[in-house]
Amino acid sequence: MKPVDFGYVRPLTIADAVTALACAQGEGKVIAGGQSLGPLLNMRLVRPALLVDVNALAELAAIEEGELEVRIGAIVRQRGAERSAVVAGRLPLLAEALPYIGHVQTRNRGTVVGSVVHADPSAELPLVALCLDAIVEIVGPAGNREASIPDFYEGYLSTDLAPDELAVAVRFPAPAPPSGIVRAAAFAEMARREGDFAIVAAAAQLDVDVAARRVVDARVGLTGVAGVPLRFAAAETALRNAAEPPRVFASVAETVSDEIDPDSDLHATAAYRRSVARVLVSRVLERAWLRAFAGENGP
Amino acid sequence: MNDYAISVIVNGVTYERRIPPRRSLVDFLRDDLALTGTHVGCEHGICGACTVMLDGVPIRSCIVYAVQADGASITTVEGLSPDGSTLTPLQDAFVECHGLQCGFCTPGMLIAATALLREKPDPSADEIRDELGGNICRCTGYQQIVEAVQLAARTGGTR
Ligand code: FES
Ligand code: FES
Repeated sequence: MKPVDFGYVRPLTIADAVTALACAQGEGKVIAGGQSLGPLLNMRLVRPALLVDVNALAELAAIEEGELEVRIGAIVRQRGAERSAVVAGRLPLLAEALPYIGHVQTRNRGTVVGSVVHADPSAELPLVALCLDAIVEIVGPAGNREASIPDFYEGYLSTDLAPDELAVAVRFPAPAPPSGIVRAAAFAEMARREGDFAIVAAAAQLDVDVAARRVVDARVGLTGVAGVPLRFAAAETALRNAAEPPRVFASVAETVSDEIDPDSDLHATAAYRRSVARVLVSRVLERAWLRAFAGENGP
Repeated sequence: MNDYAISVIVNGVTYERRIPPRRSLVDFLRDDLALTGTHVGCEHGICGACTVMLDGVPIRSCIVYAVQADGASITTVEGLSPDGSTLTPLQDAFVECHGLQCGFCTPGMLIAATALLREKPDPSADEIRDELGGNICRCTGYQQIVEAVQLAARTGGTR
């Protein structure tokens, strides 16, 4: 349980980080919080020749609030985001999901961007990024580029990020809801032990016209049921079209659980996952709906 | 691969050492500095036995590499008591409430609970369970640990 020997650099600029990755010729790995990479290294499941530690890139330590979006830099800790007033106010779904990640000690170290980019199919933040149409900012030898989330995820633990590229930030679109519309979110998760990886987790964000009791925008997603997190367009449409939304929550959850095709593994059978998915989807919809009327975003 | 020169402050003392980058922070503390108060269990971030404070916040020292702690300040269980010989109110409370049996998880529990009490001097049982949820104990059943933290909150927190 000791990692294989590796080289180490801690560059002070993004340019130097990218150069270091390029010099490693595909054998380099970026480390920020290391809460996923550390276990993989210690168990020798990955054996990079070089670790490029980005923790000294101070310019990547900020949560920046823009008019239409919130930008989270690559070394912002999950715990920092959890305590950020900007995240609480502008990204209610992210705020809801963060406490489900690991434990306080791992969130003190683990980063938001690292989790989005690690693409673990049972992790919380890739699901949030998917539901919010997040954009990954990438710097590589060829310059800067952006990747939007559904395209960024290619499958189990794999993304469109090249070995010589560095994800410097994730931008979460967060336009203010129009007047009269309340944005509310909920997150729910089933795990073997608290803080463990999700067997299934569900996310919902609803923009609710409280006077008319209608949903004007809906985001519904699941993680733990496929190699990548999933969103459910038909469910979202059904919610927008419903004259009295709470009446369709159960049928929407049913449709979602019919739509997925999860695998069985040591932790849960496919049938169990489907059933948990149904329960969790209806739970997050109800919770988000009630929160919209209670006028609160937070837990 | 090349060794790396680091300078780390542990419990107020500055240490300069050369280490291979693959050395975990917990192995560095235990093997290079002979500070064996911090325990190492799972070595992959699951059990919490190796919890130490890095620049004031509790982290798992088995999945941080010592090289990454270059320039940082660390507190281990040996550094909780200001004079190094008496116990803190939290440690006294662990004794009082039977918050330990074998003691394997205890250093991690103490660091995590110290951090909690600094932030929330009067935590509820739920808050204690949430904060210590990442620290696994095979002996106590946790109840006495929660009671110990509550007792410490009444008798002086972490000082
Ligand atoms: S030894 Fe570090 S968490 Fe178990
Ligand atoms: S006292 Fe034995 S593991 Fe906690």
